[in-house]
Amino acid sequence: MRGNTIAGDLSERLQLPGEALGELSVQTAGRMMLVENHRGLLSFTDESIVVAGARGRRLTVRGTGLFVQAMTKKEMLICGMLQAIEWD
Amino acid sequence: MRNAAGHRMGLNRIIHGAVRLELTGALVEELVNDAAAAGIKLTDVESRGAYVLRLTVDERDLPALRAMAEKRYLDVHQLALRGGSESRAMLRRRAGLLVLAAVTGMGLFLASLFIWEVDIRGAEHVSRGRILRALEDSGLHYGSFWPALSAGEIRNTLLLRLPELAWASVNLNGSRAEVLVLERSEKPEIYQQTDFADLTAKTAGIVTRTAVRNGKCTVMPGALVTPGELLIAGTVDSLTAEPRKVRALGEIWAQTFHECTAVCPLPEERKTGGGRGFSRFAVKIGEKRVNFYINSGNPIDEYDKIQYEIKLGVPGLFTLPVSLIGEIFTEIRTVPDASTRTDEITARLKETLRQGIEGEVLDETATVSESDSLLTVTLRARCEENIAVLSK
Repeated sequence: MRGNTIAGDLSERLQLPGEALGELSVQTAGRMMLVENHRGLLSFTDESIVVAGARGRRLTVRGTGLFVQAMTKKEMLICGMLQAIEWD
Repeated sequence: MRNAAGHRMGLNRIIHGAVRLELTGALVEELVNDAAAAGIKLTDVESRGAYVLRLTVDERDLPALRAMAEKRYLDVHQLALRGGSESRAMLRRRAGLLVLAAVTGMGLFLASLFIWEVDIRGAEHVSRGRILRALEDSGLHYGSFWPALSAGEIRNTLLLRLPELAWASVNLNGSRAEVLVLERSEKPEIYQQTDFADLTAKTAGIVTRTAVRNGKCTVMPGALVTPGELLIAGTVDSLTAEPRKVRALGEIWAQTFHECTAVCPLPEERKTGGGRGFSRFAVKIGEKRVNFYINSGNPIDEYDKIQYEIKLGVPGLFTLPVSLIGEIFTEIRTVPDASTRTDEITARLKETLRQGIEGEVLDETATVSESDSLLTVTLRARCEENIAVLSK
């Protein structure tokens, strides 16, 4: 599948880790999720948080009692009872 | 310290201040994105319903956030302020607390400019008192101003005053002076190989074994020798030349008998527990002692006293010139008992005997007798020791 950018194409053809090329990536541990290389929040409620990524990608986190414990330009730490993660 | 959301605040937030805000409007998510993109750190971002968000930012970022919110027609409502200007306002209202903190800080700083503890390590045979006197001669003593002292000069003075020391090091750390010393080891006997000397018996005994390294042995195992008798001769016969004169070397082991006696007065008493007691306390500031008691009617001569002193400070870091002193007094009660004294004297005699011989004690017997209010303890021992000593 060809990506929308050369970087996206490279990450698929050369099987490079996406986060090395600025792709949206997540790490979860218990009730915390670290989101890296985000492009901002698209919507925010205590049951659903939608995060924008590079090249139009979206990450939807569903759960209960969700809140953002810390947020900077590139990273975001989401806490709460995580139930589902959807990639678009 | 915790913020309004109940989460712990870091030290940075406590110092700079943290503001809890409630944002209301249609584009709150975009404001959050713009703030993050502008480098504003957001924490505890919670949704409170449609178009309402609560978050925490540093107090110094509040004006920038308000400006962004105004551009997007959002309402910003401040819910709480922790640390930062709130703490400064609290301190301004409690000026006395600030003054006390400043005075305490100044006092600690000034106290750290003087020596309040001298720690001496490595001294086994040289007494601590002699070392302290030598240090005092060089200017280092309790309460001395350490910036005016030179560790090198103190070290040199110490080595000059105490020739028993081979090496010394003085470290001045704030209000502590650490003195490390190394004592000299005894110089071994130095002699020329061509020196002439015999080995004779220092005491009477029955020879059990011989070990001759140089010279001619004149006794055999089993022989009875008397004090001063020649054991290893320094003159060695030669068939082809004149007798050679050498320095005799070797060991002649013999069974010897020793008797030691000690006399002390009777009767002896033994202390027992269960006496009445009391305690009292004092505070020592520098060299001055402040007692927290008045002279009690109990004569303290009839009491055993245990005193302990607790110095205030952080061990290994700094020491304050203040210490707490506690004294525990226990009434002396005794019962007549000579056995304890006998045991002590016997132990002392055994120790003296062992230090006086170059060998081992095979068996020993102690006898006790009492007469004319005197206690006599006699220790008889059979030993095996090296009885050869140099005789020039």
